[in-house]
Amino acid sequence: MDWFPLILSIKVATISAIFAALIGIPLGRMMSRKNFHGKDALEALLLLPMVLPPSVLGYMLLMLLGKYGPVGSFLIDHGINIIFTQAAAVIAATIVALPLMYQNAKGAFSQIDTNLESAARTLGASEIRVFGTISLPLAFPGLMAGFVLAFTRGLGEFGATMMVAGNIPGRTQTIPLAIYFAVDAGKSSYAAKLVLIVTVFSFLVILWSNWWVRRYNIKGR
Amino acid sequence: MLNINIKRKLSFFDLEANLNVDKEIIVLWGPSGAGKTSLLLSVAGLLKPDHGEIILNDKLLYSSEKKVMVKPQKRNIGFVFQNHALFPHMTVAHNVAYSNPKARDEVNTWLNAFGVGHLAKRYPRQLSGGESQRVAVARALVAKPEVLLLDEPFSSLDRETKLKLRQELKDLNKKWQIPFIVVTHDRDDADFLGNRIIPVLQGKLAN
Repeated sequence: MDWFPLILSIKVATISAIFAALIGIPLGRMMSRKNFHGKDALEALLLLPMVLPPSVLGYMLLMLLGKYGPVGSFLIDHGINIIFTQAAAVIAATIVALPLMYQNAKGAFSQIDTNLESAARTLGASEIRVFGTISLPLAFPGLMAGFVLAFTRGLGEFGATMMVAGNIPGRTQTIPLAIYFAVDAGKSSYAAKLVLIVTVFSFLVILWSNWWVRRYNIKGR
Repeated sequence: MLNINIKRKLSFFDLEANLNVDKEIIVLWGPSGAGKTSLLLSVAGLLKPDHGEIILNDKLLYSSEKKVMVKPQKRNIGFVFQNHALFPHMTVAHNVAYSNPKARDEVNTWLNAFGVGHLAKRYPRQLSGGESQRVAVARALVAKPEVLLLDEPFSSLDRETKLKLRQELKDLNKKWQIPFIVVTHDRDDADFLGNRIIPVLQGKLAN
């Protein structure tokens, strides 16, 4: 049994969920509190990866990060190649996971009574302290749900990953790719094992996250 | 001494306020939607007026002419929100100590002074309306504000609790010797509390 695809998938999903959180949480907070010109357009852009076919995202990433793309050619000049590496798998997974993280973060922050943040301000708290002691803990269950969704979405990412990271066994082959190519090659029992593992694992992740959110809500609020 | 002289465009009318408040209780009395809360928010720095100035004890807090807009954090103005805005994920003790977390020891003294010492470890959802209001006032006063603003402080209380708390508020004002601005739609509360009562209608103060 080759465990590499499972380990790589967990690694890629974890790192991409962290990136999605680092980008999606501040954006979600900003979008839930501020009004500005072009907000609707930015919102649509952020949600676009959720509705576009992953192959379209893969194509766009190839154009951007490929040898002749604006970012890719710059990086290659500096000795860095992204395409067909694990980094490309992380980028693809981050982009498909971001809308889920962002939407959950925005929803979580929108539900907070803004008077609580205002009250903290009148008590002398800096914006960072308001965020850290009021907004973040109150939005935490929603952020956690977003993080888990982003993680599981990254775990299942197939189309864009195949286009930018390829299917190199032992290097860039994640679980969804391993399953597809195992079936393609007639290795049905190997595919079945992977299917079972990823299903049970995803089920446990969601089960744990729901349990955790419920416990947090009972304890904290 | 608090001097307010501001104008602000609201959805349906303009808010115009010209008001000087000394160490007394000023009651802004008027129907809902008259602009009373917007005035409090402007004083606290949570809403930016369009024109005018706000001066607190010779310190300029807002001036459209000089382009000054001091942040709420730096104004030293206490605000008791209508729904009390207690932090739901913190205990009463943590709520009251929020403005000065280092002074946790003092907090017990404070809580006892407000008659809520036995509630220190409770969460806001476990408090009655009256208890919650006492905690909100205590939390605002621990920050040692130079002005206290109260938005409809008795709206969610039963009559008996209200009568008790408004007497306490009057006593607090005498003890603290700072301006209190209380917003209410209840004429009876206004008459009881106010050293001065200022009717507010459609954003205009009747001086």
